[in-house]
Amino acid sequence: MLFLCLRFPLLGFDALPPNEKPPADGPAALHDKGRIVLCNAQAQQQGVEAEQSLSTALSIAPGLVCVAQQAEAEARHLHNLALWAYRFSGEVSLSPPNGILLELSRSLRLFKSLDQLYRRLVAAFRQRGLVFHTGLAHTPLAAELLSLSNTPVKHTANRQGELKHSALQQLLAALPSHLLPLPPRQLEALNNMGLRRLGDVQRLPLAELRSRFGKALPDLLERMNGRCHDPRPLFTVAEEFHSERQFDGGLHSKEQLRFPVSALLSELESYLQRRLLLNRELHWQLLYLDGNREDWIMPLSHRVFRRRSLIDLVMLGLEQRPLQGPVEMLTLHCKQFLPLNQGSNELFNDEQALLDQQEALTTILDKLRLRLGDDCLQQLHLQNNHLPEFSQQLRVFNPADHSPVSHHPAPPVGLRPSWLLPAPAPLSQRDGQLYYQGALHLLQGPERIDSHWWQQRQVRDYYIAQREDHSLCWLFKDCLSQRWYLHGFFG
Amino acid sequence: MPKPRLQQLMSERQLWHARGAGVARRNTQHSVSSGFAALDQALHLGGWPVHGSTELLCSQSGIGELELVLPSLAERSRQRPVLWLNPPHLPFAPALEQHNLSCHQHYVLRCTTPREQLWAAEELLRSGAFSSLLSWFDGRPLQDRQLRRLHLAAREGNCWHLHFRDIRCQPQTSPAPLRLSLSASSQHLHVEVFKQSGGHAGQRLQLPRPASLLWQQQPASSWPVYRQAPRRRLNLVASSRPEGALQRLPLGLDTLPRPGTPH
Repeated sequence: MLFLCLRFPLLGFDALPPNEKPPADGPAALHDKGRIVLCNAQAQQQGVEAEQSLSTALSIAPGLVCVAQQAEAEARHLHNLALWAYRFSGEVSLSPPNGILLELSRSLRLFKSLDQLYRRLVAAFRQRGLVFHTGLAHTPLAAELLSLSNTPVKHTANRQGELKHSALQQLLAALPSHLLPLPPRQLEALNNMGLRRLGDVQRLPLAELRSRFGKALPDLLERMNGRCHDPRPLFTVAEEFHSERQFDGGLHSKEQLRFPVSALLSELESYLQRRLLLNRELHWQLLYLDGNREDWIMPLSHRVFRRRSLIDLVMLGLEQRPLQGPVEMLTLHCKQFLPLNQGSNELFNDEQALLDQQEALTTILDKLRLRLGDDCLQQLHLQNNHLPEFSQQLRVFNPADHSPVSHHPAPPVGLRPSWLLPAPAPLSQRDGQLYYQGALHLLQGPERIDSHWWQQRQVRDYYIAQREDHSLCWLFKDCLSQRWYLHGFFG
Repeated sequence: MPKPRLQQLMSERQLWHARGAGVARRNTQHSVSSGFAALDQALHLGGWPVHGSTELLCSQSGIGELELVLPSLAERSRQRPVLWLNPPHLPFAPALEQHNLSCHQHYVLRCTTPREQLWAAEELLRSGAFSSLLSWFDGRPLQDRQLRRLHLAAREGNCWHLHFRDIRCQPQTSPAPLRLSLSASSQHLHVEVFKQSGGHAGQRLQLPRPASLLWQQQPASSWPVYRQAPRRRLNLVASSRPEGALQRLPLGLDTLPRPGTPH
């Protein structure tokens, strides 16, 4: 077993909302109930420490910026980090308040070696500007303890991921004993007995320790050495996806949003992969520097999550929306999911081509919807009706509607033109001759259509006529009003 | 010494060789039959191209411009749908069904501005989701650059771009490899292939319009009438059945003269 503990010492600061963040270059601290909980390096230099009272800290460092701790935001942030770390290992557990544990022995084959895995991990954290400490050991507790003193990974394992046991034992023995997760009174007692290092405690017989300190301490040692099982609750993925990116000082142009959008989508991608789901929409939320919020829901009709095409789609959608000012925070939220249809490769190319074609259709539909509106693309449908204008229908195309040809009326028997005018155009009549942009000569007819007596009776005699320019037209005479209309062309 | 000179000319690249240049490329891989033997014969590919831009220049609707392409569209729309971009009127589904096209394979897209339409056309052509795109651009004629982009997008997406343009665009050069102009006479659709790849252009054809459409009905005055109906006999028939006399009039269309007979 190989456990890596990642500890984020400045998690409290990272989790703060952007408008409450203290400036990065000055001394800053978090407080909770009048006590300092966390302080940054500049504050530490001036003598501020955890557990100091707020007034003491402010008197030591007058320039100190104090912000109230937000435990909920921290937990959420840690959760997001765990979600992100899930891609490196199938066994992730949280180590509150600010750590994540990953079991890596099963991931080594996938990533070829520990070295490669670690490099990708580090690169990802550097990209997000996160400070983190590491500890690598054979048990979760040992890894946690090592991460508290920030032990580089290469000290305890080689490049292939084999632990250096003797070095590991030395490092553990050198750890200060007050790092042990024990009640303060017992830590005090250890200190008073002169057991300053973990090695000093380990050298004592377990039975002696048990009689002096009770069950807790020997248990800890057993778990640390791997002689006793140490199960941790595994991290599970949340029901809804929520992630955000914050920008200090705000982003001014849409092109700058491309990278955060891409990062959020890749988070969503790994989330969806893990839960074998597919999202139906992207709910974006833009928070501006002046405190305004803008919601933007993007419906999707894709069948496979493709990050690259989605980025283009989002950027296309952003092009249509004016930014109201500098963007401080971008949030992505998804709560509607569909079970993913597990794509199986088809044996024959035809089926695969059909799937590809459907995929292409949904992709292009998403694009068109974004730029031209939701109901731009229409599909022709045949209707069971005698009146020509009602015998077809243009329906807004919806790929989720899977019953396009449920009932198929038979086409009419008579000759029908391939072009239909959206509304019948009245013809003018002079000396018994019909005119519509030229004189019309009737060739054949009539075909009588008498319908809709229950609504508003229509009695029409349809004729085929040829115009002066030799085009063939479809006319009708409304027998009730004795007027002539043009209704189509035989194109 | 004429021979060496000819050899020299033949080896130079500037000279176009009719023999090698693909009159022989007539195969079904690169073309879809148009459904008209005469047209297939006139096109060097042996039919309509599978992808790329094809320009049809005609100035009015109703001369048979759709009849020319519907058989090929029926063939293509079996695999992938067809999109109509800004058609001048509505494509009429019952007529499409009569031409053996299933109408749910047909989509209509309307754009309001030329800029949006150009964007949509290019995206649609490139997407590979459609087998054919029929487009009508209103307003100013498209620039050479825009036409070329559309043609390349169509080739990339393996889509047949049928571009209906005004006849006035004929003198303008265009990157489309196949350009036809359409005009009408009373019985025929005249097609002139004035640009095509793979050989010479300039073919002129006359494709007859469907006879059922042109079937000309005689005026009622020249209809055959039962002239020798004796008055006396009419009087003999009971007066309660006046429609008995009407039934003798040739009302049904099957008694009308066949098409082609002069009136």
